[in-house]
Amino acid sequence: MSTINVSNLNDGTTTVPTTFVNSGSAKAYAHYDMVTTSLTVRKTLNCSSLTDDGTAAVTTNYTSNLSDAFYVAGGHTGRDSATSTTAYAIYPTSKSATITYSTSATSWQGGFNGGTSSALTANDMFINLMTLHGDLA
Amino acid sequence: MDTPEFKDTHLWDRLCWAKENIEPYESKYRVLFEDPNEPDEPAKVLCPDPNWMGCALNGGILPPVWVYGELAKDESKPDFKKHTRGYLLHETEPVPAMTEEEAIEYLIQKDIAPSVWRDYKGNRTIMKIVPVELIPSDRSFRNAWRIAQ
Repeated sequence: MSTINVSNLNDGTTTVPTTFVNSGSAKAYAHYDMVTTSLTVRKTLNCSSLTDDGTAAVTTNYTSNLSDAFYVAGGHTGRDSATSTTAYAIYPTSKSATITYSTSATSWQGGFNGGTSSALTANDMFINLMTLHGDLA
Repeated sequence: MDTPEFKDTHLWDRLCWAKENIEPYESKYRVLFEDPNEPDEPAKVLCPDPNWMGCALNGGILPPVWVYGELAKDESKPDFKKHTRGYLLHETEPVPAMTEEEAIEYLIQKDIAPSVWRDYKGNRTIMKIVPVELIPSDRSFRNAWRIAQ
């Protein structure tokens, strides 16, 4: 593997250290489908496996651990079919399984809101997206 | 392409290299398991990540599975704040190429709680490695799934 050692990047005006860039990059992401088959992993980074925990419930397991459990795990909007325009969301929590938010795994719950903050209705979705930012161990 | 000598290279950098240079591999297996500590929960299905499987079959990238056990031990301590032995992931000699079956065993130890694969002493079958075709694709009653006894 070739290595370019660069400490700073300069665009002609501003200089930033490469550590700044590395710290801000996503440390994991996953794009998966829970409708077409039982669970299909479409694209990931830094995931060793995904566990299907129940209806719309998934745990992402990481290959390179985070340094602590104060990382930022962001679930994004989802879609229940390829052409759906109904709004769904994915949250770093769980309705049916133990909630996991550790340096090696995060549990996710997809669904839609039924009107109150506690009324999340679990719903398997065609497009499920998550990203994770933080420091690696 | 030959795999570089990765000992002492941050695991993250290895994964980024692998993503560019190793073909993902879609495993023909899934691991079906139940959590003995949560008897009301449905059976869970562990799905190996294709990029990770590519790394496992290639060899020379992933750390030995005991490293994850050590980090889990550290994290389970009540005074845990952050990992101080992350170097184990990066400085331990990477494992050589695994067969698909060995890779699944590695994943079980890494991503499933020991209460399922090591400590359970009951009579029920709570874990099975199955071909992916045996996992139902109809999820209408997903939260009622149990392992057939």
